[in-house]
Amino acid sequence: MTALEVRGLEVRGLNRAFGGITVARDIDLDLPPGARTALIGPNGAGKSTFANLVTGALAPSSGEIRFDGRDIGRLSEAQRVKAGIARTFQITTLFRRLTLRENLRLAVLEREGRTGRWFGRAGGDERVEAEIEARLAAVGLAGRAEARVEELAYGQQRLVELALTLALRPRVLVLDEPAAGVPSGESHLIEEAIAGLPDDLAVLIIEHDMDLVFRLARVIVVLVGGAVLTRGTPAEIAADPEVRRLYLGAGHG
Amino acid sequence: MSAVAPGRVPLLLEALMLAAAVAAFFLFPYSLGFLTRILIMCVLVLSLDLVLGYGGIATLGQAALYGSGAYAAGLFAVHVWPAPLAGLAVGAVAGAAVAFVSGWFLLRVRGLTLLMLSIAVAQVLQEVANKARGLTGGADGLAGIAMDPVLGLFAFDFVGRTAYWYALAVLVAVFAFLRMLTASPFGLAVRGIHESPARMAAIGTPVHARLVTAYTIGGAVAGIAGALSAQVTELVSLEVFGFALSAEALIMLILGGTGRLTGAVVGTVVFMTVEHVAAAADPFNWLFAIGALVLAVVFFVPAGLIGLPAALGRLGRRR
Repeated sequence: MTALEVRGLEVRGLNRAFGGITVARDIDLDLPPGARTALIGPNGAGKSTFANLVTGALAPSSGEIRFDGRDIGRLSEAQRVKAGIARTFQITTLFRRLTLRENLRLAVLEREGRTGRWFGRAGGDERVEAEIEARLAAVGLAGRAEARVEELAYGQQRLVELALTLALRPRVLVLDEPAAGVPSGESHLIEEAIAGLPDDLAVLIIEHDMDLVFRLARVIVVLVGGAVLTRGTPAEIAADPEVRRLYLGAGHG
Repeated sequence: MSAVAPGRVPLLLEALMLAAAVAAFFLFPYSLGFLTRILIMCVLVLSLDLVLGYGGIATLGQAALYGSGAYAAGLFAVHVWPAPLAGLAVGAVAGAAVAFVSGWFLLRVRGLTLLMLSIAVAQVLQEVANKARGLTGGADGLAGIAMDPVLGLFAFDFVGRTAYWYALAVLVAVFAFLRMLTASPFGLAVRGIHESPARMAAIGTPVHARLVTAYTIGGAVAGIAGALSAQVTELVSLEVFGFALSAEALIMLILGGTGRLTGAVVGTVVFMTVEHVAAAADPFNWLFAIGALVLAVVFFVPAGLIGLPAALGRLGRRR
């Protein structure tokens, strides 16, 4: 297979140091289309750092990030979104005082390269408004389009962030602790939404909730001290004595 | 309903405001100079509303852009061509240019750092204008401005009738432009950056470029306000770069309500009217009236005077 035929995201030998502290060490990772890969590890293992390196919020110290064979390691965060890599944040990051409709409208207009336009009403495109309504309905928030984000329960805000991110039509989706902060009564909504993601979308889930990870992921990568400890299927990881000792702890027996 | 969504109610409010401006001309024929100053200040505060109210750019240096427009229009009138509309264009370009160059550097930082740097830009420009005596007249001000009639038809008169209609026409044009801009996709993007720069970057927006664009447009509008002031008073003094001007513009905007164009206008009119009346009634303690008014609004109607009807409505329903 030549470089041009490589599809999806490939990370090779990725390093990042803050001063003398290495937070990412020689990380290799592949996310082909349709991937459901989870990144787990104890606090401070460098999971969110890795998400920031992949999405461009942080620049790597060394290493390669290629997407469909193209080097994207030096692209800005915004340019990587245009290339097809989108993310959700550990703490929901939305336009809190704007309505759900306006939140999604920004994503759709930006996807179409229209947010630089000075003329015409932002909400004047019926096709865009129809898409917004469909995307809100898909996460069970039909009828809430005119509510402001800050008026929603946290679990619902998570769903809005997912809908907004999907409105960018990404090919790689990075979910940074999608269940964090969501009350247990609402977490099934998040899980259902993730389970229902398009089949050809490559998904990288960074998550603390082991039940969620073992149900959703097909590949699990264990990160410790910024480096990959091991990787495998959920069954392999669950059976790995080192993972059980280092990460899962006594509570998971 | 979104606070800034253009709809029927704002349109009615805007029509009433325009009618009030026309009525003021006939009701207060001996105060046209003061009324014209209000109109010019409205243009400046509108520029600040775009930058700070919509864009969330923390600035206390809007006078840098206003002053650049004032000196540019003044010098253009003295040395090149005293046509008012051409002068406005020159003022707009000068304000935009200063905003673009300073914004390119300033808008990489946020919050207090940005606030301090924005003050510094205005102070530096004031010192430059002070030192360049040969060109600007230094502390004596730039004199010798004698404007041609507007469009070659309406000569500026001693009472200030032409100046009033001229300033009102410019204010209406600026308001209409900003109304269109804030309702556009670009306007929504600017509000998005105000809400969350991190999310805007994560949907693929070049955040810095959008902010610089918004600041540059704000600079053009502030420059128009400065140019208007230079043309109407036929004098430019160092105070156009003054910290007091930036601070007063900010207070007017907060008083009226940020993030709404009508709020900028209402805040300016109320502030300047209260200042005018209070200063005439009690020349020593008039600042107290302004201070009390601002405190009352900030504490009881944080959305500004433009949010007063909605706040009273909520109060009524609670009873």
